Amino acid sequence: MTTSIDGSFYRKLLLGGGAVLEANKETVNNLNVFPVPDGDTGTNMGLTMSAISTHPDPHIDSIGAYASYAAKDMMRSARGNSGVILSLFFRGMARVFEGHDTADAALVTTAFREGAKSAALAVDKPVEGTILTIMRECCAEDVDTNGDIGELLEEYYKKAAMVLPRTTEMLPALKRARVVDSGGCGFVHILDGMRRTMAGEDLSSLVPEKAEEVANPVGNLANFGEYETEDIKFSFCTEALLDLSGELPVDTVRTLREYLSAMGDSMVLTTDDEILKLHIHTNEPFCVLEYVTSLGTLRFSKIENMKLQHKNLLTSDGKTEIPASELTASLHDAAHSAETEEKKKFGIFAVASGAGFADLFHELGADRVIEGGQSMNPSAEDIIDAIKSCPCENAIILPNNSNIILTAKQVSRILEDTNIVVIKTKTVPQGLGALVAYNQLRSLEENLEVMTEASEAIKTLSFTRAVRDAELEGLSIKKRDFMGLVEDDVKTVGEDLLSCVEALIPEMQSYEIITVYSGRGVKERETEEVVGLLKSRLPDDCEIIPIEGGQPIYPFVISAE
Amino acid sequence: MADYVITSCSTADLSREHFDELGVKVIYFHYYLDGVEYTDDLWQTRSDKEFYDAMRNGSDTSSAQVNVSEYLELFRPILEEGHDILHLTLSSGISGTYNSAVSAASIAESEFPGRRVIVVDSQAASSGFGMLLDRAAELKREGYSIDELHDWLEANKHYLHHWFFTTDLKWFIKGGRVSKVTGVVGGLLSICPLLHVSYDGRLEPVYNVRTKRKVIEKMVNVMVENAKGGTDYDDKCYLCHSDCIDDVNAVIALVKSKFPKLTDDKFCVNSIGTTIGLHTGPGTVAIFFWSDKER
Repeated sequence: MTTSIDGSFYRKLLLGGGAVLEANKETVNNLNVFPVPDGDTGTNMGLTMSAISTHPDPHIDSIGAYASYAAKDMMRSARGNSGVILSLFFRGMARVFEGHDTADAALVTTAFREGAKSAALAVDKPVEGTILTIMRECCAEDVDTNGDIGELLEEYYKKAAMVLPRTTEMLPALKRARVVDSGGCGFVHILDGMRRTMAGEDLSSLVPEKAEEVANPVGNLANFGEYETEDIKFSFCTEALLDLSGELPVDTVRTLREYLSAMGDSMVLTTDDEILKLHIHTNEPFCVLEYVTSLGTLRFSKIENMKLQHKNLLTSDGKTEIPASELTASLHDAAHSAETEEKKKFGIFAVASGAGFADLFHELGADRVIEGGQSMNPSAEDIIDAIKSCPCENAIILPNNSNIILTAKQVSRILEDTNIVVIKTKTVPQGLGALVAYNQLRSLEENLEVMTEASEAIKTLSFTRAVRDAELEGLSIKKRDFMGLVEDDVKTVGEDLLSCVEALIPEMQSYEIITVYSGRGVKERETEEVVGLLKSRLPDDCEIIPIEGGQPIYPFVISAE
Repeated sequence: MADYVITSCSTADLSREHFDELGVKVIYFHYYLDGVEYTDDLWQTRSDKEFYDAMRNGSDTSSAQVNVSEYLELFRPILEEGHDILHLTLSSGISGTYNSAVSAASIAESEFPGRRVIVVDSQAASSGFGMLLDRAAELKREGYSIDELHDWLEANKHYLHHWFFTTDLKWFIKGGRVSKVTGVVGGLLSICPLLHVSYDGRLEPVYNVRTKRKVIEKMVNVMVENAKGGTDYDDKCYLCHSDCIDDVNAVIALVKSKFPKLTDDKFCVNSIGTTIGLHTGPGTVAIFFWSDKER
């Protein structure tokens, strides 16, 4: 029976939670509400939890001090909505632990409730049937365990696992897709890891299992098997940090981006005049490293086989990895040297994936473009790094995806010396519209007004292929079907792209400018067909402008304004 | 009190007849076309159409200011006749000609003791500069002394608003006037920047608007917000353009629909002269009006 936990034990609990989550990451990823391949909830939550395992043990005995140290780390690594919510949960817990060397069962209960509360507070419009519901419900009832924290966590886990299947009924989108909430499922796995750690189980060498073999904490979700793991798979998570002797020419960075986006996915590339930092998932890690290292001096690199990835916490098992402190130091130096230059009044930071979109943002005056989007949400830290590499008084962030808005807001809680402003752009065209309206000569307030107004005037239609069968918004979708979305909602399904575009023409009536962004690998002829169709069906005074967007996943994104 | 003469330069972008009618003596700027120097003589030796076609066809263009000795050649005969001079220059935010004029004025005053040459920085450009000159000439006719007119100009020049847009970014990028919108992206997105002349007489992009139709709407809306008396504005309205008369006509039609008191006689349309035109290139439309707010 454990009646009290300290900082180092709390760290073990978090590691255990992270380990079980990591092992079930794919299951969580596959609980997609939308049948487009953006199933990254598990990955995002995993990356948030991995802040604990990837940093060396700071050996802090006090639970108050360690919990706040860990929460800070998690907030910096948090990606995606669920990741950010998760980090805020742990920050809420840390606030309760503050000032305590150890925690008893009562304090743990208070901490859980505070965690759930602070997570919910950070969400603009909290929705039931999500991770927030699970967080709140698992600890809502008083449980008498005679002070045993192990039993307390056992109860919380059971309660969470019991509530999880109900999420399907709570949220219409989940019901139609016949799934439970993915973030909620991820949280149940974390609780599972925590209670198993309390029970004495060593989870540090837990190996990721295939989705269908996973002991499903919620039992009777028979349709899990219908979902495929992933269409495309890049096995090696590859990272590199290079010292540069000066800022790379724009062309070189562009070519590098193009090369990298052809080599894999989940790319995060940041560079300034001193360093280049790369993260990518690829099947050819050595080719990537060879190319990248031709641009500067290699300081650090890492290749991990993600299929075999496990949490080996105490040994470095032959990986050539520099200590996190050194990595942080070099980033700090880079940021510091940049700070000595005069601060700009405004910095524009846009999130986008695809070389074409990145170029559009750059050429319209964005100071930094952070790689990311539907398939890979950037972390708060990625955005912070970008802001630090370009010191400014006011950082204007264009998240360009509804899943990244919360991450962007997170940045303002961490970076205190910069005024952070998030324009809530939900799509790339909205972001571009906001940037077109931006004018560095005007005041912050004026810019916010015109940028928000410009982005809100833009309607975004996107077209993509379904990666699996699904029922959604009353539509029956077959794998490989084309879908047409207006903002985030699937509005039409069809066997070919043109018929989907045609079905959504009424959505584009009464707009004056239609911009057609063609995606990566789209042929000129296909673009001409789409443009031709729009020209024949929309009024003559409506301007139709085709542009190469080079975006992944969506062959066409069409904006109407 | 001695009589005085108003002088100015060709960059005020009025017609030859208009300058004559105002009794304003002008000095010509110069421009280079493919390395050959020409005089900015208000389209007498080369028409506006020919000039802008040459730009479209890739001719290399640059401008040359009026130098001190040319100013002296303008000033001396007037001073010899016993007149004082009030000289109005192109905005110092656009050209360095103001400094040359000031130098020339001090030399001229030392050559003709007792005579005065007052140089005023118009902080205006093109036909906006012309519109200011037109008002100055009118006030002189009404009997303003040289000092009264000088004071009036200093007090009122910032109430004259300049707004202009381009439908072809190429020239603005080349001249560094639109620094934020680089490369071809602005053109691909049909971005038409709407600029103004700032308080200190510089060209500043204010709004980026997509498509010509929208930028015309925006320009007229800006005029509704800023014109003296709002839509009751009934003072003069000058426009100028670089070989795109259809766009000017579209602007005028929209202005007339919003400003019932602006009858045909209030409008005055000119071509943008070579000095400003070689920075804007073809495809620029500008509108000028009086406001009750300083710009």
